[in-house]
Amino acid sequence: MDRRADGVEANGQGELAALMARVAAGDRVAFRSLYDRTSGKLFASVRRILGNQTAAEDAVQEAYVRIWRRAGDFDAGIASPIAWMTTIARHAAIDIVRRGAERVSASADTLDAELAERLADPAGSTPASGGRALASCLDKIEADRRSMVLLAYCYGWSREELSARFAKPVATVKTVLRRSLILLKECLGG
Amino acid sequence: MADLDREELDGLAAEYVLGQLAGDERRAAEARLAADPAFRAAVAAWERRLQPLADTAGEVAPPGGTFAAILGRLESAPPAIAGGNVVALRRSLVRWRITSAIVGAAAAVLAVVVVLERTGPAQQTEFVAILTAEGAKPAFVASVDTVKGTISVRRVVDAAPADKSYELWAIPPGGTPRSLGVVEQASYRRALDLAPSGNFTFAITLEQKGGSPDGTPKGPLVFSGALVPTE
Repeated sequence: MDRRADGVEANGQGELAALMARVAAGDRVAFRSLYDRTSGKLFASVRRILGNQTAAEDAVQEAYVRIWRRAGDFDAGIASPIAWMTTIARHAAIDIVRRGAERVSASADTLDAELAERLADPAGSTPASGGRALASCLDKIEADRRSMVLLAYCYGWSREELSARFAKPVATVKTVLRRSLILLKECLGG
Repeated sequence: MADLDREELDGLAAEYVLGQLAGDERRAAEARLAADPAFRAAVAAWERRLQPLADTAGEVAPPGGTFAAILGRLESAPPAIAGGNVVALRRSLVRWRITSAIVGAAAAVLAVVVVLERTGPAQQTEFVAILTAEGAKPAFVASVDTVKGTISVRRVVDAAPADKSYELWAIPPGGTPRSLGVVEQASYRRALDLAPSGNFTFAITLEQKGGSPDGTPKGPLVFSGALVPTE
């Protein structure tokens, strides 16, 4: 693991956590800073799920409204600010998908290969120290199951969509996802 | 029902972070987040584990004007209730935990939680429901005990502005709102001569000081919650 990268990451997260505390107190200047530092990541995440610029703009707006309203719930003691915000943003995008927004997704095979590559060698300046470990653990999961996890997390696929794509009952999809995630967790050291 | 065991809790946290929970399931998980520190920790751990996958999306700046649009959305607070979100909570989310945790996490909580207890032997059914505006959090907790004929209300959000009052309403399906009184205290219990069923909606409107003058809602609907059976 890259110590230096970890340190940079930790500092950045500390600043975000401090901003979040000010946002929780209703500080709009802090909110603007938080937006400037994080909106690129969140927008990229929601755009990947929605595959559509207009819907992605709607999702990122909704995400920051929720972040503003829920900032008081953020617990710096246990949560990572960017990871906490990412969940909110992905959920906002998934809500739009579930409301019936049209979207186009890459084929499962293409994105599986693509993700594996990027995880192993993350693009951009963000140190993804956990990326290699996660990639190596994902590698240990059987291909179809790994695709399910990736389609769910990165592309916001529902159980129903996965069920149709993999020709498995919804209940099976649920079980497979849970088991795959348990394997991941164990592989990553719990 | 016993509380979720550790494995089940962790599985639920993973599904929540993965984005597999939508609608009622998601909101039940969010209620659990407010109520259960172990669940919060499990969710935070899953967020960290899977974050490298989010990082693979890279960074793309949203279009200019997005932040202004976000501020515009904030101006519309308190949030309009669009249909509302109904949540069925599992019996395992015992009432005291919901209530105490929501009160504990009081900072900026905006929604209504309505708990209906029916303890008759023939109808041992428990209803829990949460209605929120999209993205908002609990604001009021109301418990109805139809056997004792009481209602308990706890306000978690800030008090109404000095010249206004929050008024609580019970709305039967397809029916007319009936006032359950003005919420003046942060927490109170009073008699209730009404036996709401699982199809009722409870709502809070912002009325003139002292409440609506004629027993019908006049002010804006600010929070509402519906009842659904827990299982």
